[in-house]
Amino acid sequence: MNRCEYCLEHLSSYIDGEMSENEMKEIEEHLKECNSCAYEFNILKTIVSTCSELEEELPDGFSSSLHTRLEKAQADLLAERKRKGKIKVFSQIAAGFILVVTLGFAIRSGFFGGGLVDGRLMSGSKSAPDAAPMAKGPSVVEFSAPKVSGKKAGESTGAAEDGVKNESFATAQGVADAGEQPDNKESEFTIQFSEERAITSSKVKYDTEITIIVDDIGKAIESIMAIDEKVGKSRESNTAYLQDSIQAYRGSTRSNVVELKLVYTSEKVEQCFIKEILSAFPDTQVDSVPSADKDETEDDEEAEEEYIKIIIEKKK
Amino acid sequence: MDATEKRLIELSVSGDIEAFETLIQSHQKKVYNIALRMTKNHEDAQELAQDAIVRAFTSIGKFRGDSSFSTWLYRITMNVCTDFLRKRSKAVLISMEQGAVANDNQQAIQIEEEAPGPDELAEKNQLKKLVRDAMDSLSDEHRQVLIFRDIMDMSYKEIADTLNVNEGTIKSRINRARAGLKKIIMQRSELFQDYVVKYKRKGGNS
Repeated sequence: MNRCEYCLEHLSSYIDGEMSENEMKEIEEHLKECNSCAYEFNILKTIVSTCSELEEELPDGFSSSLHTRLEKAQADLLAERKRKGKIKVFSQIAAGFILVVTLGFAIRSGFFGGGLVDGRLMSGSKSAPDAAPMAKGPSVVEFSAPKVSGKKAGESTGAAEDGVKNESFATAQGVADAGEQPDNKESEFTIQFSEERAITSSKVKYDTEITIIVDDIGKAIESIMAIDEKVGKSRESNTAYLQDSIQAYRGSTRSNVVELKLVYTSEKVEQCFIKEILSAFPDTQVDSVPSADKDETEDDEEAEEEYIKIIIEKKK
Repeated sequence: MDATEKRLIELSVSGDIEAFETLIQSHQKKVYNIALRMTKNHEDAQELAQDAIVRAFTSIGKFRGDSSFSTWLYRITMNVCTDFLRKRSKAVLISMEQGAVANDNQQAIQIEEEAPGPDELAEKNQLKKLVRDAMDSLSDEHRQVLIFRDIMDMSYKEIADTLNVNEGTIKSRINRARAGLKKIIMQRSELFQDYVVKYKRKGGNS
């Protein structure tokens, strides 16, 4: 490559000052000696400096329409959180009902395996842990509620019936499995559990529920974010979950309880996270609850994830 | 990141719109100009610039401080713009073909050139229009690097980091983009060559 070729090849970097001092000097020397390269340099230099002067002013009203959009974005985030909150409250009302009905049918249909079956309700919920370990304390398990249909079902469902259809709920005192969707054509209120389903649910994965009592919820959330970041390998959605909670918390009502939902890609990472949480917060209770077959029809890709629910309560 | 910026980011994370607006105050014009050069029209530019800023607001919790806030914001802007262009790629292709055929610019410039003694400002504005139009004729990829380099004033390294490619690639891409720009401009106008001669005479090549 002769000097002119070399020079023209590197004019662009020369103009930007993106080369070593020696290289800069070399080009500079050549431009002094070579008219044709100097001419090319001037053309390119003019173009580049014009490019950098192309910046235009913001259109009128840009800031005010932006402000409107930001407010809407903020409102959407809060509304989303509120919507989730409403489902939550309702689900707890429905919980008692679901517990009784589901457990009853689960036992009748042999769901808990060997010891408990024969269509008789043996000893209520306390007999369940043989097959699936139960949570201590007020654990909450989400699952897909069986569809209730037919008038006969109405009698036993009472006030809660309306909400039972197609919604996802939580039950208190973890019921291991809600089972499959019942056959809607049946007017009798029956739920079929398949053999296969019963086997898989005995190897149930665990969700974890962590209750933390703190003085300052805002600070606690920040610490949890920091831990989430430190542990790494969390799903990207954790940030969204956390943001969502924080915005709801700082937004309309400053409540004394905040719930966070986190997802980790493996149990190992999850354990690591819990360990960090335990060392960061003195007043912490960790419960493992069996993960129910929840409403994963919509969320299949998350079926393999480990969920952690964190409840932060303000110290009274 | 200075302390004020850090504080504003924290407040923005908690949903404080005013803090966020202060945070982006000095960057929004550049955001708009990125969008303007990418989309080539004001309406889309305003829409996309605001899309980008709103997206930054709703996902500011994901900002980890690995880069400066402005770089992060520009990266979002560029992503919003490239998504938009990809979706409209067919339309863009057609307009580029038309652009290559149309000679309106050239004629307009030649007519004005014949007018007696245009003042320097007008000349400069013509030059800007010429460069701007030429830039609009470049490929999206080439336009993108020139926006980063000459409008955002980012270093090769910063551009490389933003686009996730190596510095050498950026260097040669900028070189090729400028060569393309120059070619289009030289084809379109003699005014430009006159300007360069004058410019040289005045020693304006500092």
